[in-house]
Amino acid sequence: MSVLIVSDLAKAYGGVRAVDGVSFAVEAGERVALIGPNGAGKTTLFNAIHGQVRPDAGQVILGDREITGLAPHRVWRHGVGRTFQITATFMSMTVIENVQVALASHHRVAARLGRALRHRYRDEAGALITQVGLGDAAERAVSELAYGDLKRLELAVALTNEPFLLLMDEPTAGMAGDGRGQMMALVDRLVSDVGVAVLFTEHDMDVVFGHADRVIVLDRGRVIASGSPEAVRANADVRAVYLGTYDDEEAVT
Amino acid sequence: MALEDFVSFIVAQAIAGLASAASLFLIAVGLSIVFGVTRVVNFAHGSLYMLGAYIAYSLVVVMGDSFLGYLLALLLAAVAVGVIGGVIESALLRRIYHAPELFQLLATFGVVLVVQDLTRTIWGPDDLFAPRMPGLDGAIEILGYAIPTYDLFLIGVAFAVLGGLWLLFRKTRFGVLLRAATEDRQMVAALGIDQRWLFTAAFVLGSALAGLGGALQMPRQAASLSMDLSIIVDAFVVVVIGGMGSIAGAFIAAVLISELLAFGLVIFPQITLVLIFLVMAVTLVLKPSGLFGKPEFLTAEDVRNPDPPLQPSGPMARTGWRLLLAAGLVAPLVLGEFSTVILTEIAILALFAASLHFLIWGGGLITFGHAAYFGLGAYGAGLAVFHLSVGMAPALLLAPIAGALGALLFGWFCVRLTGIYMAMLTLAFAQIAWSIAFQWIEFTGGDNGILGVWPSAWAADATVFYYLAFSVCAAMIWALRHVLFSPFGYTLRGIRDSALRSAAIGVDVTRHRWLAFTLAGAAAGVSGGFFAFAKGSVFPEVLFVSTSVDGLVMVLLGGMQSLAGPILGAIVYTEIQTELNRLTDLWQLVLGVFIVVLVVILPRGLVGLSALLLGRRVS
Amino acid sequence: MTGAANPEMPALRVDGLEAYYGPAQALFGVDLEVPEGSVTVLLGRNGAGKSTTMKAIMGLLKLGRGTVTVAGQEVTGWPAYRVNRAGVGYVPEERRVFAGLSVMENLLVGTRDADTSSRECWTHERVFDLFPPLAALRDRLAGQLSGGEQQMLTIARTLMGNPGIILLDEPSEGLAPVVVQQIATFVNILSAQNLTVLLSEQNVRFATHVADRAAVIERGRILVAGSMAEIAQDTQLRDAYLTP
Repeated sequence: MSVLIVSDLAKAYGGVRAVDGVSFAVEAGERVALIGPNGAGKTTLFNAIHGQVRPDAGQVILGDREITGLAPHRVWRHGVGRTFQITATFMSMTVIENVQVALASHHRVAARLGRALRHRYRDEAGALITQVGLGDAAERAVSELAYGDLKRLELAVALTNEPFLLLMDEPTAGMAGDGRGQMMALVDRLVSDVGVAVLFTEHDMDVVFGHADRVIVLDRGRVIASGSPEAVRANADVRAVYLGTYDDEEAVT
Repeated sequence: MALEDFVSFIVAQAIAGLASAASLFLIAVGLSIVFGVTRVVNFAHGSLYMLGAYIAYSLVVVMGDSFLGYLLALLLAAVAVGVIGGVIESALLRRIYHAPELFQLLATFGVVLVVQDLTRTIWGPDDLFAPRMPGLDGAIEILGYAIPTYDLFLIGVAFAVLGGLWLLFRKTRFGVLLRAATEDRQMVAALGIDQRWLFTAAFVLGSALAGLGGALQMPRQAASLSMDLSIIVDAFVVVVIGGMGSIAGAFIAAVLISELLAFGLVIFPQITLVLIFLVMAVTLVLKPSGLFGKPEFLTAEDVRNPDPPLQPSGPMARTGWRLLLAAGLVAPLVLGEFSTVILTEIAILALFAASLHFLIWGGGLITFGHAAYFGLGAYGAGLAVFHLSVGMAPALLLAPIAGALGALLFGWFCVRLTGIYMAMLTLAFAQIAWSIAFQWIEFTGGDNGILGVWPSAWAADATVFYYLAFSVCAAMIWALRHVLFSPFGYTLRGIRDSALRSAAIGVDVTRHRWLAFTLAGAAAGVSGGFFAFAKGSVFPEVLFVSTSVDGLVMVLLGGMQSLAGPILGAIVYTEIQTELNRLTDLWQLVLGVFIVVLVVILPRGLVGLSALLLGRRVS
Repeated sequence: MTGAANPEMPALRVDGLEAYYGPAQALFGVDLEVPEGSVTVLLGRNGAGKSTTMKAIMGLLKLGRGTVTVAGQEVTGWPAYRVNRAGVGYVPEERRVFAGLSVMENLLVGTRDADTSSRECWTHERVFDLFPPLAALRDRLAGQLSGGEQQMLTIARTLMGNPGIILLDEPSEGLAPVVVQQIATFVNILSAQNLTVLLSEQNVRFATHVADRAAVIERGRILVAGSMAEIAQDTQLRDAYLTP
């Protein structure tokens, strides 16, 4: 079953067609990588799906429900978790408080004025941060965390609404070799354990070709190739606009 | 009216509107240029305009008997104001370029106070009328209407300045550098350009334009001590509509506003003001950064200096709170009746400051018009007593409702904006509320205020009223503090830290900010209601920008990053003001200097100072 | 790809440098030496202190202890514009071209008359020779250029100030493989112009293609420095601190 269907999605900024009629689907439990050169429209596409920008045309269907043009906070209610390219966390809180705030929103008590937040959802929040490997850092201030840990925390926060689709914008950007592997292993486990679908962008081709079930290549707002990692890797168009000499011996990247 | 009469009437009004737009454009474009390069919204820009008028007056009296002499006098006034601007920039602004925007607004407001008192000292309190400009004191008949030639001259000057600025920014290296600095100051510095010089130059240019705007007004209106604040609010409106940092935006918005005023005064004189603010509100809702403005972006410093996580009070802090409470309960028994009156005021203002602190620190909502909700509370209570003859208790219940309703209405617009735009819009709304109270004499008593708002007999005794005010205000402050720890408080803190993340976890950012705004409005309303009964009267001043600034100074003085800050600030600030009023006529000057010094030297407030001295963090 | 190294007087020398973001310390004593004519790479993961080191050298951050010396002259604590005038060009992360200015105006902002140095002065014509696509775009707004074109412009703009050494901050971060390959070409072009280059990078593969010397930074300190070949072979180092 498709959890996400994007059809003919388009968005232009001042005459520039950032996303120009993009269609694809993501199946339950599938890991789909979205790649393409800078300015190809990946971020705009992500934001149009997630509701940060309103598309000019086209549809976004989540499960059996159309969510085109819904604001991000409504998209979340329909079961979409999101992580950002540059991590967005609550810097003046502790690790566990970040998750507790998200849980309060999930349980629709974000506007309650009563009992202090610190006493709510402690176990639930603790389980989530343990799941991403931050169990020991629960009471630490987020501002003290290393970058890789911030990315893990973002993942824990994105999981609070038990999403069936995760949108991850460059999940391993800025991490060292070890961290990248651990992060993607975590994502792989989530996919196999709870069957969540993942749509992610990434510039590290080792991550893309090592962890995606399917790869979609964007260029100038359009899908120029889509298919298994092997097929995309061998595609001449993709090599020309994006990969360059990636697979060559002694290549730069 | 025949059709041709109607057409000529329209043309005459349009020309009058354009003439008014000229000065407004000059001041607004100066404000905009300064903001573009330095990222400081200069509250004292109106003071420079006022100085331009006063200096022009003095020069015209000496040398203005010929056309050329008069013209030279106007230009010299502009140059003089440019120099004064340069001094202000290098002495003060240079030290606060890295401070948060709220601090910058406050410091420049300190300059407003200083310039006011200095101007009063030099030129006296009375309005000054300059002679007309020789050669331009007549009128030309256009379509049957006499149009003053000076108006046409003004329009010519405005277009000349617009053209000159266009050439400057497009065709000179200096202009290109200014535009580059508007986009990315740090990068300009990294390319080898001395920013200090560039900033000073931009500030001198902006100040000279403001000075010219003021000087050019001399033949049309008297120089008065109230011109600074009235023009700055108009200029805020213009740059907010046109977009901060945009020259074309300032021009178009100045014309729009002036024409609206010119025609509005004829068609609906009562609601002209409301009309203008309506235009502004609609513009901002549709285009939050103005017609030609660019959206604001966060700087790296904002992200890298987070507050530490909230901690529930430890044993030491809890003892501190208990001591404070005990002191409040015992004080009137120990001190005399005069002190009890001051203590009452402190308790009331502490709540006002705490509600402001809740918004700014708790939710990152930068307001420069919190007086609106304090004043609405005061007027709500006062008007209920005056028109409905209700007793104190129901009037006090009405106060938070009035504050909350006002916050609900104004907040709907304000919470859609952030940062400096929000600060300016909140200020503009507060000034609307002030001018309504000031002008709607039949209902509010205007300048004469509402008198006879006394407590009921059972609370008429100063000590009894103190205990009433103290207990209610203390309970409200405690409640606000409690809210900060509740899920709502954390959600709000989350929005402050990252609106992006908040939306991505299902939080309706605008709605939660609106709720916080309303909550703070209600709390300020309570404090305003008590204030009315404490004073026995309500005057428009409770809604004025100076009341908002009082609140901000208390918060800042106490220390922003602490829950005890606003209370401490209210105590110290009220004491200082009481003493100052007794000691000197130039209290505005002293207060202004005090604010500037506070921002420059003690940006973390008294709590920050004590933490520094004790070498630890106080919560 | 390197000029003759002169160990007597390096183009840039950093000794025990400490730096702060507001109250938070970010560098804890960085030591670095960039020989004249070399391409030196500062390797490390996100948050390790690469960009911070660049900004600290450039005078864009509050410094603690330590010194920065450019061609024998100490510039510690100087404001950015003076560090630039002392001969340090800075090409920041994310390019940061002036989007609302034309290509020519961007170059104008960067233009600095060279002091009485023997080196030939950079002009529009010379940078257009180096980056031919820019010549055709001279009146285009920088914001309308593609990512690769903006990268050329930001380097060209820095060259207009006639620097002796260029700091290139993470030129490959977040870019598509083809663009990264293009940037490697740019670095080699700069090196061929007898410029000294210090670049920061987390991608070792990229670094090996352009640099001859390397230093690895972690938590605001230099872990190890040496020739690029030595560092690239240390697999333990790569797994723990770097992106392969």
